Amino acid sequence: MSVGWQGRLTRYADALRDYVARADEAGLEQAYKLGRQMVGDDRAMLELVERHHRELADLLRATPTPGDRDRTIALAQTFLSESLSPFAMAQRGFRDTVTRLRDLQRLLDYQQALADVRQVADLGERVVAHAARALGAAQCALLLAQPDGRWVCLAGAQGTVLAARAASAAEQEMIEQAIQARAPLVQNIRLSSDNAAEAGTTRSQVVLALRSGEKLLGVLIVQSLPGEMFSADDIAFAQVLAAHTAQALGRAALAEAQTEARAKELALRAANRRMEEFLSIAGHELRTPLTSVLGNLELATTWVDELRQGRRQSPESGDGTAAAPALSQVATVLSRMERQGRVLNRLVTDLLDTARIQAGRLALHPAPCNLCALVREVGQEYQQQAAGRIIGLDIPANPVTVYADSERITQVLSNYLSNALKFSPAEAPITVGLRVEGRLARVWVHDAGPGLPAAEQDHVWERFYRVEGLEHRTGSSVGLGLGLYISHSIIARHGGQVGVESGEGAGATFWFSLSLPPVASSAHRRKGRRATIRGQQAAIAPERKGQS
Amino acid sequence: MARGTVLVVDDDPGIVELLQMALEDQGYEVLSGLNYVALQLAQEQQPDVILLDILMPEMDGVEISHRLRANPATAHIPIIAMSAQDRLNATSSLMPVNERLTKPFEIKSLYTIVARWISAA
Repeated sequence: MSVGWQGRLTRYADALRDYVARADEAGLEQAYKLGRQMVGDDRAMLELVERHHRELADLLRATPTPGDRDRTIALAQTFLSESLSPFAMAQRGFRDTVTRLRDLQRLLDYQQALADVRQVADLGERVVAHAARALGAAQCALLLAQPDGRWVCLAGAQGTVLAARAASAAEQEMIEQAIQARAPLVQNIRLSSDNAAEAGTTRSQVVLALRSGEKLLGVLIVQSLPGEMFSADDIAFAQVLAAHTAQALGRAALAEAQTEARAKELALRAANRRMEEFLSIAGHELRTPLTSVLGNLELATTWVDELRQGRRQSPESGDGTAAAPALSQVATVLSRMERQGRVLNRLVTDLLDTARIQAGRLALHPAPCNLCALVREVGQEYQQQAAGRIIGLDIPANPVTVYADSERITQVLSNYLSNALKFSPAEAPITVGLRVEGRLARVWVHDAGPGLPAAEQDHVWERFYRVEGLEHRTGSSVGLGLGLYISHSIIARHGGQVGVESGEGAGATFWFSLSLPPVASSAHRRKGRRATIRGQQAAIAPERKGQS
Repeated sequence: MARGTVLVVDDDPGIVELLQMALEDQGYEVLSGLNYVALQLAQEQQPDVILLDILMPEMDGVEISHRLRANPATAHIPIIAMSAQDRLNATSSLMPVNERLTKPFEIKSLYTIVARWISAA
């Protein structure tokens, strides 16, 4: 290829020399044709042509006749400009292509920088950094349209007119103008900067509306480097960037909405599943004592009717006269009804407590309370109720006073104790204890049941949680799975802690701890005691609304 | 002479007490047990009818009913499943039982159903 154009070039130069030497029309025609043949080749050839024409000029300066020489130079110049202009055009086209490729590269870089952004909030810094880089600008700001019509700056260079988090009135007006015009608003602004180097210099500012369809999402503001004005090409490119920014904004908003919707859907599904399980268990747990209550009621009613009508006979005597055994049967079913009624009441109370905790409305009535007496009373009550079970008490002799709602603390201890009875063998002893450990009073219930695997220990405090595969002692109710959840909530509201220590097959120790009042020094005993109450009150955690 | 023998398999002592009192009052002999004890009682005592709860720890009603049916010595004994409506519906296809009694039930219906299966035997 190089031989081809070099050959053509040599012939072209020869033709020019002939023309200059003879200065006739045929020579001119010949040189012109050869020159045209070369048009369309590359820049290196253009340089050669220029060199040949310089040689031509030198040659012409040596020509003796001034008239001939002037005419030759004029004709050669015409030829030169005619033959060179296509080269100039090709060169300019090449430059345009390079510029376009560079623009495209910058645009691709920009798109890539924004591609993985899934949240509108994360988009601001990326847009600002990459748009400035892509445009070779000094700084950018991304402002988002607010539902109330104001503009909030999502991100922008600090220490500039764009740094304010909310647009100023002047900026607001400028933005409105850009939006109304539906074209980029270009302004030249003179800086009144504190920075001496920048003071008095001018820069370009472009305001571009970001739209998704007809919807206005925000504006992109770009400022040039001091003293460097944006060209028309720069502004056209900024418009392309703005279109891509709008797309990225729309995408991020959509991704956010989708993520939110998905999370809501999952949470709703989980809540529904838990609710279904709960309803099924609650239904069973409530229906069992209800079946007993209704069945016993029907028996009692039937028997009382029969007694009244003289049809009821003692099962033993069979002579129709002695009603005493039948009456005792009625008394038995009535006492069973009462017992089952209490079970029902307990279940309903747990449900109500749970609803109150969920609504953040579990009321506490704290007062100074002797934990020793409380633990002893609850322990003794269970010793009576669960006759045949061994329940040991391990309580210090001196009173241990805490600031607490004694009824609620009793409820927690009762939950621990009934669980211990429910989940351990009838012959296994249970211990209820109280110990002062530093500034804490710790109450525990130990059972010799199957124990809890470590993985289950954190979960037992969750609402409706049930240990998989854990068999409750035959005859006891499965329960609603709310007791420990309620206990945890009550102790947490007192500023205390709950816990369980257990190993599989090693029994379980459920405990809770409450802070003791601060020790008052003897010199400030009176004052100290008041401070104690206040200090403890502060430890009662405020209700958290809407916890779930 | 008892009118018949009823085996009650339920883990709730309140229900067992109720059924025992109600059925004994009508002259039935009542046995009760859970898990393998229930299977053993069924085989050895040959009750006329079995009242079987569904939701129980260890061996549930579904398993017990299948074991009873699988054993030639107990396969013929009528089984009445007792549970709440939703559980009866959920397990109806899984349990080879003769009748279903929805909790809470009327004692009168209990009497009627037990008497029907005992006279049918």
